[in-house]
Amino acid sequence: MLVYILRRLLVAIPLVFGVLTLTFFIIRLAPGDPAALFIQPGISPKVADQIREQYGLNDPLFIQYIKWLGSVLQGDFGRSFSRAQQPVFDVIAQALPVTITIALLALVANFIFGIIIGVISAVKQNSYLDRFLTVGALFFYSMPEFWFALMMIIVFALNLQIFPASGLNEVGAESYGPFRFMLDRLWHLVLPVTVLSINGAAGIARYVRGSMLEVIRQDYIRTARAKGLPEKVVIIRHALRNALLPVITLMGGSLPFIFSGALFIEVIFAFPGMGRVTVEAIFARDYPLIIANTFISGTLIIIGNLVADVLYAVVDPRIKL
Amino acid sequence: MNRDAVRGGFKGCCTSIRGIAIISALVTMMFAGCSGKPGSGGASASDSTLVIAMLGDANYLNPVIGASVTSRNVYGLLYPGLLKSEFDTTSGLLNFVALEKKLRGKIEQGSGKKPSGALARTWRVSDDYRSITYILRSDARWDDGTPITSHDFKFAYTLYGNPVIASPRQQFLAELVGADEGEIDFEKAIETPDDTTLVFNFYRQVPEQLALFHTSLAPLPKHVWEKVPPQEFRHSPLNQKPLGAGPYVLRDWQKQQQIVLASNPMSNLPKPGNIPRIMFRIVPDYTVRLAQLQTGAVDVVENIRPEDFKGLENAKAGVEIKPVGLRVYDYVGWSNIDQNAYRHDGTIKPHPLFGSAKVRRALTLAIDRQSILDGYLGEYGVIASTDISPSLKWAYNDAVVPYPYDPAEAIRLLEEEGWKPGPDGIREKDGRKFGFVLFTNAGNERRDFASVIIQQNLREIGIDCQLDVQESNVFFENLRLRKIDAWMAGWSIGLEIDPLDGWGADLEKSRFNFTGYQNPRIDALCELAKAELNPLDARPYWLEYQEILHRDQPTTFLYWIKETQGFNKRIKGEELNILSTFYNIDDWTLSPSASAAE
Repeated sequence: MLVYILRRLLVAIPLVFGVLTLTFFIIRLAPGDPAALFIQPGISPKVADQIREQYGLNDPLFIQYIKWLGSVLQGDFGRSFSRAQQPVFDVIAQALPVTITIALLALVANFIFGIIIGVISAVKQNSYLDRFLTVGALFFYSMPEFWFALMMIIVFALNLQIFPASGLNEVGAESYGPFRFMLDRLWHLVLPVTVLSINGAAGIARYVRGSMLEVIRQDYIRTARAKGLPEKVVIIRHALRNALLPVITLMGGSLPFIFSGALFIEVIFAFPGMGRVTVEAIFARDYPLIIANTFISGTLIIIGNLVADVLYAVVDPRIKL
Repeated sequence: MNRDAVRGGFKGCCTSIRGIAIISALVTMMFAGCSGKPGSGGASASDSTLVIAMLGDANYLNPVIGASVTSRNVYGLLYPGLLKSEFDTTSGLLNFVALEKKLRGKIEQGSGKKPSGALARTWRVSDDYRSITYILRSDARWDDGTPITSHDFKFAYTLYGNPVIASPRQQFLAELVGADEGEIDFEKAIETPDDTTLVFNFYRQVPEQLALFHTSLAPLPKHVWEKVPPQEFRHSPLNQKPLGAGPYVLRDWQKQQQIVLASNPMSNLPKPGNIPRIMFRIVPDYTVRLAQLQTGAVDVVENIRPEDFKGLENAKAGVEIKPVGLRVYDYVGWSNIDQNAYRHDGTIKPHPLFGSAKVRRALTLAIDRQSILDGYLGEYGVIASTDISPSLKWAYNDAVVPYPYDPAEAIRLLEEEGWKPGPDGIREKDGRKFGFVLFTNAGNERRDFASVIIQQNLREIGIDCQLDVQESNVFFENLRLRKIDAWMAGWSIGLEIDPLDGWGADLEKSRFNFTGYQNPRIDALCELAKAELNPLDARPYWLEYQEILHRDQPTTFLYWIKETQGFNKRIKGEELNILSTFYNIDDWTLSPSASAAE
């Protein structure tokens, strides 16, 4: 298995590189100009040119690529154009903790609620409860996230005034003790995490229900029942364990999401996370930052897939890598 | 082994379910504790903190390179100014004030804004208008105790003018000695005979108004910054902890989240800010900013849309809306020249559709601007006749009355020009249909609203107008590259009238003349006005300028927009004007316990 993992990782290197090269050319050939902010009345026409010179954008595209390649091979992804020329990985390091916190909380909630709902509707297949849960799950699954988030804000922040509408902490939270600070942070995370997890859990519930229904009809479940095991043990020990196999692939696939951020949620709840970094970088034509983000999400997608494959082999002895 | 792994995973899962139960119990307890007191930041923190919601973060808190709106709002509070500027609402002119001198009028003792924040005591313009000498006060200090001297100004100006630093304010140095030859000679252009004397020398005659405007950029502390090489200036760590001297100091800056300023007890420029803490919070989404203004979580939100006023009237936190002067207008741009031909080989010939002034007048007559205002801006918009704002009273031409909505007259003008209705109702001339695409940039509701009405208005007189929305970067690049024939955009004017960039006949030099409009008289009038030493003497030129633009209609000027800012009623003493919403923010006070938290 170790050899397999190593081989996959080696293949990944040229793949990531190809993606970065493609991104490099696509964003540079797209219309728009990183110095566009400085093309406006009252600003000397020289400024945009000086800025482009600083960013090395006056060189021919091919020279730019060679220079870029040289520094990337040394691990230097450059400095952001739009964020005070911070090294791009500093920008990302500031945004990552926020994104990871929200995403991990949301993922845990996703899987827990998704699995519980999925199991219940499979066990009580075609009952009113199942129909209710299925319709409910579809209802939330098809709801646009940003709209749902705004509705939650209007209900809980504006009308009921239970939760805050945005931000990571209350005004003046710096003076709180560590415990109260954490509580304040959690309190600010309730709405966004709820929105994210309701949406995700609905999807997972559908998967679990499907796979559970398949497993329940298997012979070994009948055997377990025939042995006289209590129904609870049959469902949880014998059926669920096998039904969870496809869900594990989903987990691997969720890895990029943990790091890439949830754009709408970050914009609406004013969290300075990765989703906003990426999209603002694109709007500002901040080339180094766009490439660094592509690098991170590309690598994570590859690793996520690998993790899913490995996990699959770990939990299912029938699969050999 | 695998089986164990599964079992282990399973146990973990069960434990985590138990864990969730505990967490949810905790969370419930937490809400029980919080729900009784929304905005549980504690009355003390919110009573002493003014929270301003901003759309985006500052890029730099450094007057030399700060470029975003938030940057300017914040560094204006951190750094001292040589002069204070005022906007004279009766004349519409920018006025400059030093401690002991005012450009126009007398310094009033007693009430009103005192000029005590200015670093200059007084100034004198030489008889030949080629130099200006400032006498600085001697009691001003940077926050580390070092005196602020004339050398700090000279040093800062060398930074403003350094091409490696690429300051967006280089234009302010355009009259200094050497600028006409491409490189400013700072030794000759700025002299510092002693610590409190500062002399700027120009290569040409400069009117006093312009000289004051261009020489009053903020200084930087030389003793801190002189060790930073220019190529490192933009990413120097000093940008993260700016050393200033203004009424506030930077306490905390969490990128893309918030900027916290604290009143500066050391400041005598003019004094420590009244409100102990000011927090600029970055809230990108408009609906959320609005909700937070309603709940009292933030105190100031800029650019409230007119359709939201009603909701704010009933807000729990008392909110008032205050309009500021007319600086922004929307317009529909028509290519006066054939852009394809111009792009191809530089030839200039009239645009097949919009090349004639008569046709452009017909288009303006056909657009029902009042309906657009009634439907969207209401009383917060004024129909525009040209690009000189009614707020600039000294130059505004009252005699130029905007064209009325008159489709019949529009049809008459089009027929005169040979545009006759075709079989499908769309007008034609020489086999060419009067049809075009009107482009605008994405994400502006007001323009979306207006463009639909314009489309319908034009359809009624037999013109086929398709709408297309482009991402802002793409849209402005297409405008610059002259790839668009008709578009709707907005323009925010400076308080110094200088429209040559937008209408100058030299299309290579006039970067913003997207229409390709050329009229030598407009160029001549702008030059004549600029040469006047007293701006009021330039009034006749600007009156004629407006008549010509009104007649030629290079674009259809739609309406001026009164920007409307929302304030929590607990803020007292705010005096916003056309210069800025936060013009006298250091004088604001918060009346305690009037916030939403009951």
